[in-house]
Amino acid sequence: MKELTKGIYRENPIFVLVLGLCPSLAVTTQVVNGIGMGIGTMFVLICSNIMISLLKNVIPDEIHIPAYIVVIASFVTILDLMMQAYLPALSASLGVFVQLIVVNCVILGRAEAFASKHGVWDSVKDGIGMGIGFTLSLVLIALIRESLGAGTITLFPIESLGFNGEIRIPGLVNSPARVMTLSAGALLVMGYLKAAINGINERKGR
Amino acid sequence: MNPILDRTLRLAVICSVAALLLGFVNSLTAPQIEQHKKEELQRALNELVVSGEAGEAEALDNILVSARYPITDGGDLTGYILALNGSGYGGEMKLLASYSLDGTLLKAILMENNETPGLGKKAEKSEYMDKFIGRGQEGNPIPTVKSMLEKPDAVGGSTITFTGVSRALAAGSDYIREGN
Repeated sequence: MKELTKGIYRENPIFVLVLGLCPSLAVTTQVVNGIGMGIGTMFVLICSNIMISLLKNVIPDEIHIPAYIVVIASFVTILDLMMQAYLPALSASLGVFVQLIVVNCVILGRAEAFASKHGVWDSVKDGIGMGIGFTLSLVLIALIRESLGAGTITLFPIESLGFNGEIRIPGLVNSPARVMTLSAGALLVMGYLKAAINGINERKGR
Repeated sequence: MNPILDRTLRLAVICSVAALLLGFVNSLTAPQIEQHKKEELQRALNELVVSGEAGEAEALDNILVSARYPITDGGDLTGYILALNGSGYGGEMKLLASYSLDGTLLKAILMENNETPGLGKKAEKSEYMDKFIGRGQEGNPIPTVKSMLEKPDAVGGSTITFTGVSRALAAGSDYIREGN
């Protein structure tokens, strides 16, 4: 149970381990992108953790980085093809960021720090936990950035309910703080959230 | 065994298994992806025709204008839909745009692109093209720099995307006016 829950808060990949910041800052302009990117990363994380913990005795130490990259890149390509085939809308909106999961440090980081030293079952739990933690963090950052920066919250459209996927926040939608959707806003939000989490942890520790 | 040979072999085996798996997934998904692209193209063509109907594609030997679809209304040629290539922040962008015979832009859609979500990607929205529509005839060129717009502030998103989109649309308009 510990392996599963640690990624959500205590070892949260973004706010505590500070891994995978480049995609998290880049895609969090809309909530829907955060969800898509988070789930995509979780899929790759779980698959690569399984493969790497299975192969940990086969892969010699000297070539472990290239071997991990091959495994990770294969799963990312599978994910990309699957998304293009079955979720074309999400694939179009995430664009180049799906391919960029290959170089997401969360995945290589967990392969290196956890999956290569633990069994398959623990690695699966680690992948799920870290994936959930990563997704929640992305959604949190995106929620703050999109609502302040664009005055909207973009989710998946549900055609049967006539919901076009966009919630407009009255008051903010006409005069949003544009800087929040730009890179500077990403760093600001990230910095404040990290400070808040550090503050909470410090208070707890005392 | 020689340790270098051993490592090379292991890496080679891992790579070939990965390649095999990818080949399998690709063979499963390729027809689906092809189908989506066709549907998307058809939807775009239907949307671009203001009146009348679009004919078969004719491939063109031009870097900027890669194909044209004649639009006919009751047998008369009223304009063309052009497949245009532009270059944006994330590399090549494909656009489809319909023009009347004097080079006026009727409608335009940004198709395949790798622009940044939340910035350049906003050019996919139909409102983005409003500032170009109705321009392009003699004496009223399609604006290719933001200062040529009445409200430059209204352009959300990246300047590089704007330049890529507008230049492609202007090239299409020139192509039509040159009477090809």
